[in-house]
Amino acid sequence: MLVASAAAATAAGPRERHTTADMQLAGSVLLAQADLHMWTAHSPKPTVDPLTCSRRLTPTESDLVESGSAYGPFLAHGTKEALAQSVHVYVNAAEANAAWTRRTLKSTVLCMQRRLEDSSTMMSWISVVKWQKLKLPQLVPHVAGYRVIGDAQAGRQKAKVYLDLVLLARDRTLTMLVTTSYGKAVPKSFEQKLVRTISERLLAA
Amino acid sequence: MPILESLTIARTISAVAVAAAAFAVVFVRPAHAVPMTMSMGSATAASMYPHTSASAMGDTSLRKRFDFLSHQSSNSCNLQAAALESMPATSRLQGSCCSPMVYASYVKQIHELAGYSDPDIPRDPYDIAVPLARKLIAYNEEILLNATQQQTYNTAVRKAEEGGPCCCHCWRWTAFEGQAKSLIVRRRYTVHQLDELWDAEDGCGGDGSVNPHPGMMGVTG
Repeated sequence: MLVASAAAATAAGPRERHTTADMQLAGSVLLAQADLHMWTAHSPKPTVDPLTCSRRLTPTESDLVESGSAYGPFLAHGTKEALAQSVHVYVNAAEANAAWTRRTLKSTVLCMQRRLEDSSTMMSWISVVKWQKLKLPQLVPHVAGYRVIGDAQAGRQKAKVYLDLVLLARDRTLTMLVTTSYGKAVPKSFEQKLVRTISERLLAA
Repeated sequence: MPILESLTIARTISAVAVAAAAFAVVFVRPAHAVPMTMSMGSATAASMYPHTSASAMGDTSLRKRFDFLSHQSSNSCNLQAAALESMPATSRLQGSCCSPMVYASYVKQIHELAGYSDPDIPRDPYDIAVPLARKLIAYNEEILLNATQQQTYNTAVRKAEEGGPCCCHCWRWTAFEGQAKSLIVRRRYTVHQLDELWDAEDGCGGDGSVNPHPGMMGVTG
């Protein structure tokens, strides 16, 4: 299903006219393992956004032009927390604004809900029980965050699972940070620290 | 190393199942993202699924419909919602997903469902057209419940005799989840109404007694 979703995302994705400068710009916004104490990078490095949706829930960007992109490593903290990030640079700020608008619609939360529930199997499943907007520091012009909470069950074991999506954008650059955790949510202070770090890089880019 | 593999090192198998489900969402390699629970391949979907509607059998009596449907198996506990996308639009999901059908329960359910006139509610829980199932599943990609509506759904799941919209996490769970969202939003369905409807729509077979393992029918191992 992830394969199909990735394909759908690609089909609806922006036209790519990558330049060396904008690829470097995108890379400069990524979090690295050195930014995160006690987090471990895993391979292979992702080549798609950390949150992909069905075709219906994937924002169409085929009318937009992307001049750079970067995908950070998949980072895990023990066995209960993980995160990944992607960055997209568009040819101009107007196109980045258009992408921002399309990536912060109701369909984004629906996509998150489906990602959680669609990972259910016969042996372990997740039911969405809540969603909410995250309160994040507004250090760059565009900041949005969403959390979807699910009840996971495997046999008689139950646990809460959390899927957080943070979107930040400035000028021509838009970045997406996804964190998952189970048992308890990623600490607010930690998430805000990540937002500050990424915001600083967006401002410096 | 995929998180699924790293987790298996660190935790017991059962605990991993929960964690893996959480992490598989976005990070695990595609091949690991959806464990192989589906036995229904798309290539053979056309030949595997019946096209005969029990309701299209003219004035067939309930007993004959029961006899026909109780021998069908396209309504499988292993069948996930995504698999319906590749099925022919004329195919139907028939029979019980879990326990053998019981005639008295079947008749009771048919009579209960006759009291509904909503096009999103099937007339026969053991004979559901694939297009209707797809429509109900699609509601999950259209309807975002607000906090109050979500609470209604959550409470209905908690109180449902089967532990949710179905006794197992198959296509029916996803379809009736979508149906519930639509009914909550469009028709302001209450917890009680949802649970009554889910009982009438039960496609798990048996005599309607309370499932001792809610949400776990069909789980093996």
